[in-house]
Amino acid sequence: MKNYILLIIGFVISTGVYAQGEWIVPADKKGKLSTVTFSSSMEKLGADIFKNNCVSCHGTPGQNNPIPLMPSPGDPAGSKFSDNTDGELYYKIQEGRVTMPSFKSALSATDTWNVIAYIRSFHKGYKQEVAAKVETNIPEGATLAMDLSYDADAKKVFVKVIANNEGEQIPVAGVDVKIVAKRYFGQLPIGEPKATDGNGIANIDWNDELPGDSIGNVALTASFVDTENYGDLTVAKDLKIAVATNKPALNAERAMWNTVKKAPLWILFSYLGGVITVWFFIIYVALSLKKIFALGKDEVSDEEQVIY
Amino acid sequence: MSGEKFRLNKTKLDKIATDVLRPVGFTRGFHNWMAFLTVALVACLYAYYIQFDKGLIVTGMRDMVSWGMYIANFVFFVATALVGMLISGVCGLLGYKWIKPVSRIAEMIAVSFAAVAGLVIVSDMGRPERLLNVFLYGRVQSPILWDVTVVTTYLVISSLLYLLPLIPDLAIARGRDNKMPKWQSMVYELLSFKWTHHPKQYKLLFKSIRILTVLVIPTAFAIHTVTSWLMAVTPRAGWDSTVFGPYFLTGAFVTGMAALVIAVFVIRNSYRLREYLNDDVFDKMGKLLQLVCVVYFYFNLNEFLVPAYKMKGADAIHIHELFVGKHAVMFWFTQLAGLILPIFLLLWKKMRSPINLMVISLFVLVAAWFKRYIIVIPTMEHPFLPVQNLPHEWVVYQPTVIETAVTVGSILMAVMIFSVLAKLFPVIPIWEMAEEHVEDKENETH
Ligand code: HEC
Repeated sequence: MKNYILLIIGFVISTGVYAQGEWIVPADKKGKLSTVTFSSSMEKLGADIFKNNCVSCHGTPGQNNPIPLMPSPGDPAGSKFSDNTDGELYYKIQEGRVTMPSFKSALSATDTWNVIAYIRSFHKGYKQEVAAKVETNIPEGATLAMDLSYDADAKKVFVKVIANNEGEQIPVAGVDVKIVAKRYFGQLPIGEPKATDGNGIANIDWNDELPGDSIGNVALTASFVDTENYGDLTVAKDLKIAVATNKPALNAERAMWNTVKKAPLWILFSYLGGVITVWFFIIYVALSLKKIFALGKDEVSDEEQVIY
Repeated sequence: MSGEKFRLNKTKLDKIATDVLRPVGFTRGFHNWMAFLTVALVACLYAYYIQFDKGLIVTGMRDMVSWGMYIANFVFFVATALVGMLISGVCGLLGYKWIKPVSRIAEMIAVSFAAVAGLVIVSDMGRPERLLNVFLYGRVQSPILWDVTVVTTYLVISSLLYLLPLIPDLAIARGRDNKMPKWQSMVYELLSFKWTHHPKQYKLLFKSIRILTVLVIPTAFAIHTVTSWLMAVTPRAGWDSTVFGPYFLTGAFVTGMAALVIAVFVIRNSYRLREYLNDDVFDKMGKLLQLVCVVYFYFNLNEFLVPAYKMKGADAIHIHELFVGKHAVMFWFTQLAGLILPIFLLLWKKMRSPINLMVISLFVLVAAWFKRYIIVIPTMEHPFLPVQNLPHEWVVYQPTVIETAVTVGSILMAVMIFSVLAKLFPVIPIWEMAEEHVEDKENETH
């Protein structure tokens, strides 16, 4: 009991201190910067994300109408937010704390930067610092393009990355790409991520026993591994490279999860069999009662008297 | 029965009929008792009206704990109702003679509790007006439909097992000059099915009762096994167990026996039927209660010790909550007062005397109710999906006053049905007590 009380007190104190104390972001996370300059299109995307995920608690930026929680979520236009570095905002949104949810699994790196771009658009006097570029052969200002193809002989899927610099096509080398296949729920990673070679091509092993749809199509999507530096560029393609599988729909056949009309026969028979057997005897007994009633008209001879 | 002939001894019958029929009839005391129950029930029905009007939000049930007191109470009701099967079915087929004077009381409990069990389930429904949909769109794959089926079937069989042995008694009562109100003698006439003590009538009656006593056993097994499956077919900690069927069934025997002892005690004293419901009957009931407690304890040992030895992730949290956590007091109360202590106490013959046995049974019955609570609620408090930022009232289940009132109402209803049956009809089977088997040849010399 004593321990229990101590535990409760400890818990109350720790949560109290934890919730009201300053939100410390680890030093190595503070300095994190976006690799791209915030643009109006990023702000627009960020505004959408904010509307869907944040307004419910933080209210509309600039209106100072967050919901009354302890500690307060704060108005994103206010100094509570603007005093943060970009890295601190990034960390706080991703990790969360107590009532501030963690958005790690809900928002990608790009989404998070978009929402930060949106928040920053309310902060006067904010000047963005952009992260130094990593070493690549991509010329400044070039747009990237990605393509997906299949080589039947080599049994490999090729992902080609090209930088388009004012009409000039430059193969992008040394960038990690990955592919995933669409399945019933979610995505199936295919092989390991690979770096592009001097021709801008990454080849990823393909297992041609993978089941596809009814004609052998499989929906592949290629993307960069390091989306923070290279962006959310993806390429999706339906390739006829998997085994054609004609699985009936999950509700096509008799199954436990189906409607009563498509119940498994064994369960139908067991249930009905049990019910019919038991009720057969119940009805038999009811009919006996009727017979007993009918016998009431018969005379009982002295010989037959039960009570003596 | 070939060599024997069934006979009723007239002098014996006369005496028993006089004794047993004396308390029958709606006396002033009964009116007061029913008036009291009715007033209390009206208050509880008002609570239900509020729930019907506002929805289940007036209960303590929320997204996480969506099965609360009502389901626990339902399991308790079904469990109590099973005593009919234990006495008429199991003990009857084993040929135990001592059950004769208490067998009808056991069926009265079975009928009243099985009848209300269905209503208890309805009280757990947010939209009870859609009840019919269970039958219209029910899926045979769902244990819910099996449960509805077996509860209704058990109620019908129990009612028949109550009614059939009553027929000769009603005829006997009609044959004696007494001052029954007109409506009561009409009920007696209707339900005595023109009984003339015709040997052929007896033959049909015996056969029907025999069929029903056999039939009631699998049906009762089904009813409580299916009730356990409502939980055991899910993968949740505390329910995900292969012994859940027999665990529930043996638990039901304990609950039912305790209820029977209490009912027999009350009737014995208020009806002055000590001659029939004598110390020997209590001694036997005490021994049976002890036996079923031991069996149930064995299943408890399996149900808790095996997961507690392995301490698998989710199970560990659950077991911890029960053994030393939030539900520890309730858990140990149910185990100690409802199971372990009775097992030891009942070793002494003195503890099986009527008053002592009654007190022990009271503890067992109350513990049995809380045991159902322990089975249903703690599991619901630990969902598998990770959740965060839930309001406190979702995470911790706290039954509300309205919920408690509706639950009390269900118990009142069962007590009312029992009371009416106990005053409307004789509570001890007169003819069965006067029954004698005479050797045929003796009969010839007669
Ligand atoms: C469930 C309500 C809730 C939602 C939804 C929510 N927040 Fe918060 N947020 C809070 C609370 C409460 C705090 C204050 C936490 C603290 O100080 O412990 C907070 C703090 C923050 C902070 C840190 C402010 C500071 O003190 O430095 C940032 C940044 C933030 N939220 C951004 C967001 C973003 C962006 C979203 C949407 C993607 C979002 N929040 C969604 C409740 C919420």
